[in-house]
Amino acid sequence: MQGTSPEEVFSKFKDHLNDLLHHTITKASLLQIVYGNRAFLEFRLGQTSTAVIVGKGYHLFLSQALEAEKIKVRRYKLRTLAYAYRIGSGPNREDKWLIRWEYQPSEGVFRALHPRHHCHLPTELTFGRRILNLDRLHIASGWVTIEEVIRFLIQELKVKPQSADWDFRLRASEAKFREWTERVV
Amino acid sequence: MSSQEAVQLEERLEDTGTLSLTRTEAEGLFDHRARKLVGMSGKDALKRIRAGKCGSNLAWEELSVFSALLK
Repeated sequence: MQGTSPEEVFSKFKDHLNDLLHHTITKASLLQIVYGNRAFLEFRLGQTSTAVIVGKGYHLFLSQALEAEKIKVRRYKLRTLAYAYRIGSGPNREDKWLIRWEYQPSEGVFRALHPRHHCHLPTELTFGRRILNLDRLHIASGWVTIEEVIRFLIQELKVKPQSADWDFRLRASEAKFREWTERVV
Repeated sequence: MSSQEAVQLEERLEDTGTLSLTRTEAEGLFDHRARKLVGMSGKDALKRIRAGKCGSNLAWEELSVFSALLK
């Protein structure tokens, strides 16, 4: 990603993500905190993290931590350090939720042993003689992009998209994500 | 950093949409959020998160992602 500093790169990324959200599922905007070559994105209201309404009674909670690594003059590679996405029934963490996708690193100083990319479901599953609590289990999920969460909301949960070309925008955004992060997902 | 200063940072974030923090401010804001979300100091919360011993409730999950801001 082109930029003269991590701050400029993060600003461009925030604008890109907000533009994507505004043309797909919500007019709400993400706020950004930058510290050195790291940044954090979230929706906030009343000095607390919040989920925003996306339609049909569904709310989206989104937070991401990013790092910008300088690879050339005026060129940075973005790295996602952690993310949390949650689809719920209201803006607060006390509200009922349908699914959570999360990623936390397990390398470096982090010592957690559960699957790094995982999801949670607010239910129990009887499996033979066992009762599995899917709320507490870290169910391996693979990398989940925000574009895929948006796609799930529109296509599967029937949230009305903000624009007719939502699919094109998601595909274009995924291509940019691959370019900026040098990832294959 | 005082709690009042952390509140002012939160207000500025909501007013401007972006905050650029110094190390002291980043640690102060994390401490403020840790006390609010999980009822302990930022230092103690960070130790638990990095040790993988913080549980998986929503408050801890939110704080865990935010903790990645700190090196």
